[in-house]
Amino acid sequence: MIEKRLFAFSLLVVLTGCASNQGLYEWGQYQETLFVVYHEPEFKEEALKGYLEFVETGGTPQHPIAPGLYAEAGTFMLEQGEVDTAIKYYKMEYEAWPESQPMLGMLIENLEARK
Amino acid sequence: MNRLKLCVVFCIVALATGCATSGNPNRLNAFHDAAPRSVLVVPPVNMTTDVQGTTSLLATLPFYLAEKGYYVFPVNTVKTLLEYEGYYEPAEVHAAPPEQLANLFKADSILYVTIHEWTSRYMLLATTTEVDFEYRIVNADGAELWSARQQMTYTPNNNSSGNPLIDLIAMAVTAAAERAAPNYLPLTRQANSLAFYGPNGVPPGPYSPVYDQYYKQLNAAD
Repeated sequence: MIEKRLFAFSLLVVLTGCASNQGLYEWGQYQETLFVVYHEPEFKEEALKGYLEFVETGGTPQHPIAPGLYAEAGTFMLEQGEVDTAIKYYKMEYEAWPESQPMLGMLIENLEARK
Repeated sequence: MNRLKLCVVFCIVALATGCATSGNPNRLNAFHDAAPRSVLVVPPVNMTTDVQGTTSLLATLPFYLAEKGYYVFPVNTVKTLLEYEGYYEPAEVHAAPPEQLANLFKADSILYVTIHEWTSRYMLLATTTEVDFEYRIVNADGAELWSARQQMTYTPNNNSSGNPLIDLIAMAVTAAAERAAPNYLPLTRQANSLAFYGPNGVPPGPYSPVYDQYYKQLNAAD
C-alpha cells in the first residue's frame, strides 16, 4: 500500500516539476493535431475540426490559448484555400501577441492584396 | 521493493534539487544580456533515417518554451512560410544566416535542434528506444545564448538502469507509451523537459510570473 502511494507521489513530483513554470496556457490537442497533420492524413479532417473548435473557445482568463495557436489555425485554413478564414485567425494571433505583429502584419497584408 | 526504494530516492533527489540551477554561474550571461522575448523554432535537422523524427520533435517543442514564458512562433506556420521562401529541407534552414531568419520573422532568438539519435532496436524480449537531441538557442545576430544535449534510452520492462532518475521516468512514461505505439513521444517529451527545465535549463521568459523577480535578483547580485 505504501509502495502504491509513494509511486503515485513520485509521479506527481515528475508531472508537476517546477510548478511555477507550468500551466500558463490552454493547449487543447495541439501536439496531437500536428502529429495527425504530419503523419496520419486519414484523420486530418476530424483533427482540424476539433482544433478549430478549441481555438474558437479562446481559453479562459486564467489560461488563455497558448502563443502561436491562433496562427496555426490560420495556416491550416490557408492550406485548404480558405483565405478569409485564415486571415481571421491570423488577426486573432496579431491581437493576442505583440511579438507576432511584424510577421503577421506583413502576412495579412500580402494575403489581402492577393484576394 | 525495488520500486519502493527507487521512489524514495527519486523523491528525495527531486525535492532536494527542485528548481535550483547549478553549474557554471556565468553560463547564462549572454542569455541574460539578450533577454529575448520570442523564440523562432525551426524544423529540427534529423541525422537519422527515421522520416518522422523531424516533425514529431517539432510538434513537441513549443510547449516547453511557451510555458517557460516566451512567445514561441507557431512552428507549423513557420515551417510552411519557410517552404514558401524556398527552404524545403531543415538542413537548408540551419545553414541559412541566423540574422536573415530572425529578420524574416522579426524574432529575438532562434532554437535549432539536431536529432543525433532516434532509433528503436527490436530485440527478442524487449525494444530499446533511444533519442539524442542537441539544442541551441542563438540571438538575432547568431551569437549562442544557450545549448544543451539530451540523450535518453527507454526499455520497457527493463530492470534498474542504476540511475534512479532514469528509472522513474521510464515508469512514468510506460502508461503513455502503451497508448502511442512508438515509444518515441514520451521519451522526446522527457528529453525536452530535462533540457529546458532541468538544472541547466533556460531562464524564465517575459510571460512567466517569476520573470521580473528573476531579473531583479540578477541585477541585485551584480
